[in-house]
Amino acid sequence: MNDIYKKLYDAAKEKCGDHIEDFEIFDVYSRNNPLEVNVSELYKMKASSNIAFLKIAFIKLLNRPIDQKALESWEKRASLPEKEFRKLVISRLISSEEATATGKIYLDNVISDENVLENVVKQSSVFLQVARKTYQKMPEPVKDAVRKMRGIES
Amino acid sequence: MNNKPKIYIDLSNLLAINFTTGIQRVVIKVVTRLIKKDDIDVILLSYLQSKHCWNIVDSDAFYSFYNDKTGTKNACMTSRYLNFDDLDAGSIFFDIDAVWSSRLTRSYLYPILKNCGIKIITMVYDIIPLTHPQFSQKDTVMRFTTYFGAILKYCDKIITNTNATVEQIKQLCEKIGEKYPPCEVMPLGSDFKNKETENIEITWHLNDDGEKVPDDEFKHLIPNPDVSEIINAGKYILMVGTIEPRKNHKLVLDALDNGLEANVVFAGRIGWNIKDFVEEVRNHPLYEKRLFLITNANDAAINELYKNAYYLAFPTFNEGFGLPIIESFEKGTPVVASDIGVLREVGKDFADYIDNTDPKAFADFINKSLKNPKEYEKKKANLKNFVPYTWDEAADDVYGILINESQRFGTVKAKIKQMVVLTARHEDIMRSLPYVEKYMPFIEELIVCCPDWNVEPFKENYKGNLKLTFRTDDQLLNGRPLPKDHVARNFLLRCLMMRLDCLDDVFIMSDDDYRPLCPITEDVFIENGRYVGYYFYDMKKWQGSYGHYTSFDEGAFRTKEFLMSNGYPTRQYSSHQPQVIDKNIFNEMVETHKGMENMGYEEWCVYFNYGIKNHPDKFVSKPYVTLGWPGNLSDWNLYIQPDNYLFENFYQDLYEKGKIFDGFSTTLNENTPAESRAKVKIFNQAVKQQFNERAVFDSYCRTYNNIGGGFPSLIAYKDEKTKKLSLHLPKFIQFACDCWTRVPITITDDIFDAVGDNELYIGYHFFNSRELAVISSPETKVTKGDNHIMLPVRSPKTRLENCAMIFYFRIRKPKTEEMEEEGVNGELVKEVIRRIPAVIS
Repeated sequence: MNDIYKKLYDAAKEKCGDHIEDFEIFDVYSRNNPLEVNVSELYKMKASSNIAFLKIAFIKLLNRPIDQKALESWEKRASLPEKEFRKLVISRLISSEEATATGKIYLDNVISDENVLENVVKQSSVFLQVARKTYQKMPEPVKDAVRKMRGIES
Repeated sequence: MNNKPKIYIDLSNLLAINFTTGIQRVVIKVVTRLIKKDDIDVILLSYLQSKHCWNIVDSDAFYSFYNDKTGTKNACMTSRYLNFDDLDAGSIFFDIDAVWSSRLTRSYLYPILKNCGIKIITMVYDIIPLTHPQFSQKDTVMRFTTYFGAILKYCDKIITNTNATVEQIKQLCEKIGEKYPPCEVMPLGSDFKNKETENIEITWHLNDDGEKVPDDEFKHLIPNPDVSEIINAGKYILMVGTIEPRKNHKLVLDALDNGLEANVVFAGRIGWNIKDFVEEVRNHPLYEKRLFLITNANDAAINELYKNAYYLAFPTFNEGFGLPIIESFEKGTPVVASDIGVLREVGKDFADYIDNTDPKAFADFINKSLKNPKEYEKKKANLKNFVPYTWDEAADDVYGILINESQRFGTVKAKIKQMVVLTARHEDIMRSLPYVEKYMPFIEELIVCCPDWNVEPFKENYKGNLKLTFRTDDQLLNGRPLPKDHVARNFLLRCLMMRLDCLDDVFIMSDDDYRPLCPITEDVFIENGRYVGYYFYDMKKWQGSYGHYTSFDEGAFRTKEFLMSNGYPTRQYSSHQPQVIDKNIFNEMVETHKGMENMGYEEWCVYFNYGIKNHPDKFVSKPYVTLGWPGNLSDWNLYIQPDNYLFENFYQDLYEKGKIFDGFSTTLNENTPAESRAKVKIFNQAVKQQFNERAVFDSYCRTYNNIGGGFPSLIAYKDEKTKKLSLHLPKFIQFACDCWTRVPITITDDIFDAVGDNELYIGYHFFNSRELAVISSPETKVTKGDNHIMLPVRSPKTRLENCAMIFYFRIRKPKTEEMEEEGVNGELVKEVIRRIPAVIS
């Protein structure tokens, strides 16, 4: 750990006690690479508790500290066995819309890519649903034109 | 050529939010003025996290939206992007926004910028999250601590708004035993928007309800909400600013319960951790009678509130400046503020100061003033003596600091007339020299460092006009042994060569096969007072040719370790073209790192990265301009696509039959200019093709990542449950047809443990729909401990339907000597195979 960050952390901690995250979280935040993360290494990372791992996972996977609402929601599952909890956290966070928006590269993801093909199918299904809804909203003359293009009789 | 200093400003936070607080107001006021300065080039940026780069912001649209209040915020965004390490070396990165909340943390960004020779200047408004962390959210304390650590570590200069903040920084750094960058103080301005608009004639129209409303372009000039009722309700104490615990609104509310005889108006958006207080206000018996809360006032409404207030109260626990104090003075309204250092510095003798913990004392102070109208009027009259610091002056201060910092750049003044070559092949240098003499006429002398036996043939065969000076290897080595390794040998000889008296202070260092393609002037090497270093890669990304590393690769890995362990930038400058060297800086580097001449580093890399870090005023880094590097475009993934070619790295092979320059001449003749243009076109097309082919695989990786799979992972590991050795592959893979792609593969330590004393090999096949292998790779041996390798994969020549890719890893017994001689593999111990669908497009 580079000294300067640790020294500043200690100075802040002295002032405010618990009003700063634990050092294991701060350490991760100050070193975070917003471009990519090795998911297998994250899975094996040491953390003092499931909640600590959750906070670390938010930083490493979504590039931000966890918000209060998300923390309260996950606390209900914090009593799960460690491995199960970690897999759940990693899977949920990587497959979230926010994860896609970060553009972060999730290397060595052996944890949560089981549903990849399902997601491809789901995304296609979503596309079809949207297309269907759009068609339904079209004026009749336009619908006629679409049916004609597709070779469907009115 | 544009000689203006470049200033990059990240405005991500301002562009992302829809409200304006103190910091955002400062950003707008200063930046809209900076972009109008003629002699600096201000480039506005916004972080695009999905692409992990910057979006360049349109300055004109930005000015229109934020200064003129016309246009839209969307119009500010362009389709131009900038990577973090594409910023021009020697330019300034000016952080003025609330960047500690950015996902692009400064602990990540600043080292990258320093790597590129960028100067970093940061505006620090305050360090309250460190001095008074109880007033910030928990994660803000964490973010700010990280941000400030990056400032202390990497910034070249800090701008604060008060001496009090400088003092706080100094005290904090003394406490933690760290240095801090030089600080300059720039007070904030105060000319409120409406001062500029007092003479504007507003036009009106009737809306659908028959009400008279201002035309759209004047809406912002009309107070919103209408505050006339509040103003007419009686004399009031005003507090302006975000409602949060630090601002201490509680003191004034409690004063109301302690006999305060004036009304109270709180104007500001609701901030953090203040929900209970806001409820207290809304439930107060005097709410909307003598106590008012406005959370969405526009500038015009705030202006009216200021002008008509009895007093502005500013009982904050801590501040970086206290802009409302200045704004209140400027409107002629007296101020009562906390008795703390920073506010006394800003308010001087024009404000009154109170104990910010005693609501009774505050109420008594105001009530006493109400009973002494003459004293009050004297106080108001005295405010006319207050000379506000304007935003023009504040922006000029910032501009002055930026210009002053940038003027220290570009201090090189040198004339180049020497070229220095290390060669053992006089025939090669002989063929290159006619190009040098024709296209680099400023070169008058050639210093040749070569083996003894090379000197006489050189002298006999050279027919050109350059003055020749020879120094032999023996003269340089003076009894030292010559290393066998190519890179180590060259580095030692060059280090020794730098001590020669016959070398000018500044010269061109070249190799025997580098040829200019067109007329070259000195400003290719020294531009705007800076030495130009041409790079072609980032050492951190260098993979080499896995399975058969060359001396060049091994040298690159050693050099990378040296650069990283010494905190140097890591660009790769062995671009196989002539480069300018400052002998004194090179020798300074060798002196600093004693013994380095024996370490076999890559000489161009260590020199330029050392120079960029230690003499940023003398260096600028640019993408390389070499044709024919690499000689074979399948050798490695290109990192940059050159946009210009000035030199050729001559490889005889490339001119042979069937090769890229087949049919072109290898010697200088009257067709050389036309041939050079043609070769550039051919090579450029080949480079583009490599990028296009890689784009298919890169696009597949991004798509796979975005559909929740993460980056496609190829991992050899031990399964936790079954305890068996396994291969984890993506659910499908995609390549462009008929090209080389480098595929990242991870081998976990479990595998190496299982391999033990045996050997590990990895490889692949492509099968078509009839289960016939169309490509089978040779086995690639994996060196123990190499957890991450890049496997070169050759894809099928044509698009295949229902193609499958089979990856395998094999553990074999070590080869005996006989087996080595016969080219036979060791006995197979174990094999793991996995098959996935492959899309060849």
